Amino acid sequence: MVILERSFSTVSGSAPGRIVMQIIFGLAVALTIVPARAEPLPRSILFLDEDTPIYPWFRQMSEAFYATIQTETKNPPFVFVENLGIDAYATADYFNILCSHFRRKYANRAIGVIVSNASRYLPYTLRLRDELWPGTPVVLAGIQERRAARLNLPSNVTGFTFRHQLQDIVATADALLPGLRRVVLAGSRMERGGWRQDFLDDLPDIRARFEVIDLTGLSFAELQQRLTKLPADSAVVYVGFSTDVTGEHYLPAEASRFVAEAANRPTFVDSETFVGAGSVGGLVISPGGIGRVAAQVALRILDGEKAADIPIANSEEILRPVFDWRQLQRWGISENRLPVGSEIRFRSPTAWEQYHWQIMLISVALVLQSVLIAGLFYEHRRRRQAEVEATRRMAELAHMNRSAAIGQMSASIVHEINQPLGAIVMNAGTGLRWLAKDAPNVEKASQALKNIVGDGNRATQVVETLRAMFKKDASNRALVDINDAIAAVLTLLRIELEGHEVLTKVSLKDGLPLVMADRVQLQQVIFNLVTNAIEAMSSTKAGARMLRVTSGATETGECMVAIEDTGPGIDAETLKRMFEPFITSKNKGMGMGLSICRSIVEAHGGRLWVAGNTPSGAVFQFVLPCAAP
Amino acid sequence: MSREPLIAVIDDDDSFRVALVEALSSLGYGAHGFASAEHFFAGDGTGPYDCIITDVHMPGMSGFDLKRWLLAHDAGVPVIMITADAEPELEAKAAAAGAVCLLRKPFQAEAVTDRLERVLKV
Repeated sequence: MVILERSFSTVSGSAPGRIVMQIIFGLAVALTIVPARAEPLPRSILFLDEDTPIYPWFRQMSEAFYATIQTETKNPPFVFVENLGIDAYATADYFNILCSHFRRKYANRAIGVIVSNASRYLPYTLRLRDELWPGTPVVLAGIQERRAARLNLPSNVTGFTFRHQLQDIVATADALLPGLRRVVLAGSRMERGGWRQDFLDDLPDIRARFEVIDLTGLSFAELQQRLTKLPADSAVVYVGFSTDVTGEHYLPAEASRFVAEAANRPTFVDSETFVGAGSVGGLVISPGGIGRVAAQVALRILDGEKAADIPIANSEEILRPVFDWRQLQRWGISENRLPVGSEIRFRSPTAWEQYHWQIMLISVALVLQSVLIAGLFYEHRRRRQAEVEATRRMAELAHMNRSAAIGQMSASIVHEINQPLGAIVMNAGTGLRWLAKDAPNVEKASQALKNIVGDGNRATQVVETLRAMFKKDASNRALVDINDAIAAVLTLLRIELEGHEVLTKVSLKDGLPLVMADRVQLQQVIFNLVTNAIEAMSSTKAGARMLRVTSGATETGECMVAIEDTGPGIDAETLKRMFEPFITSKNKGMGMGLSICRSIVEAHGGRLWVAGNTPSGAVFQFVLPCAAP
Repeated sequence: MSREPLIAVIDDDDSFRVALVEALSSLGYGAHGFASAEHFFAGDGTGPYDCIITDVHMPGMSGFDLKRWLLAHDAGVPVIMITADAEPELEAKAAAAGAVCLLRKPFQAEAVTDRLERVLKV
């Protein structure tokens, strides 16, 4: 029908004739020539707005409208936008001015659909349409539900409605605030014909259930002041503030902020444009929803549907529960109380939401670090345990080594002490007997006593030597004749050597320079090397066990000691490592001896090494720097 | 006894050997000292000895070697072994070798003479 009207109007020429023709032929033609859907509507939309585009309302609606136009069709129509400015410019001849302006402006522009946001000025809009674009279908972008019922619309005008009732807002407040007793209306005075005129009809119902504190129609300053002293069981419903009694104008969205900030109770609003400005939010009308639905209806018509076939229905998309998270927090309102499907805005992103990747990365890093640290701790602990164990074993071995050495030496010590002791006892008895005779032999007795003195001195010597050997003072260095040291050790080991049937050849060079050394330590080295040699030869045939101890001077003027054995010698592998602790070729023993020996020699500025002997066995040699003569 | 018993003391430790010889002579024994078994065998023209007191450990021939040698040559002269060592079980070894006894230094001269009297009376 719309299409036919449209085609008709293009065929017929002048404007005045159109209305008549529309009335006379409209239905008849439509009924007879329906199949001739000759030409599609021009793909263009004229968007008529009643308000000033500076309002957020219009901005949100037109943005949604454009977005829908662009996204919901493959062939987006061209959109013309006109602001009628009826409120601001409604002078007597304003309609004529608009008409002549638009007639010239759109002389060469075909309009497919008119979308009107000016539902309050519906007659004005329809008059304009009939004058300039007769027969062009009109989409009314959002009509308040109750108002729509009262409208008597021409058949080529369609649209959609939305609920806008005070009880919805109050019900939302009631649901969110348990114990709500009072409803505070804040805003400009609500008037018949105004945007919220239906609220006036809702009021008796509200009063039946709540005490209504009506703060509309005050000056803005007084309103703000009153809002600060609201009772605890109240909620504020902001009904828009544009002009106060003093004639001052306000942008309703801006005014909502002042209201919500002044109020000592939560403020509920009815428009999405007010959300985010201090109010809790509420069941709000979404201008974006209106724009989107309007675009969808307009596109349907452009795509061939007849406006008459699109019933004016309520759009659920427009009235939506939207809340400000910050205000919910401020008033301690639990999200559980919000209506199903509520949109919560301005939620402070949680640290997780805000720093998702960073937290993930840090967590991963932390986990890795923890693992690493745990690993290191574990390793450290293991190492520590190993160290403790090693230390304990070292101590044990050192003790065993010492015990073994003491054991070895003790036989020699006992022998060395017992010799003079035996002589002393013997001589003492002898002396006593000579004196006890009838004719005491004083000469013999005194000889025996002299011998005792000698033996006593000898025993003292042994004790001195022992004391020196057990003295631990490492810095106790003195000039030592290396040959004396060798002789002392060999004396101590004499029994050991005999017991093992070792033939000992000692070749000490006379007149060697003295060395500055700790005598005891030096003797320990020699003792150890000789003991090793004896043990090394335990598997050698009895007649072939030969120990050769040699002293001498090197070309560079050092004192040299060599201890040779005729044992099995040392294999190449052991040779490389035998000065390391715990490396031993012996079945018994701990392998500490040589490492200690080397440490001692090196502490004295010397060197200790080993080489193979010919035809078999090993030669341990060490050199020590000589003291200046 | 027709004559005073003659005893050979073999010990490489000079001072003890001298002391023992002196002690024995103070007790009325004839005693001669030798620094080693080898010296003993080389002899000093005296002898034969009624008893041999010998150190166990000596350079060259040991006390045990000496005893073995004596046994091998059917010499029944009693042997008393002495030692300055603490080595255990030497007594048993000495007994096994056929020695009269083993005395550990230090000991009183009377310990020797007690043994000697028993040995020489038999």
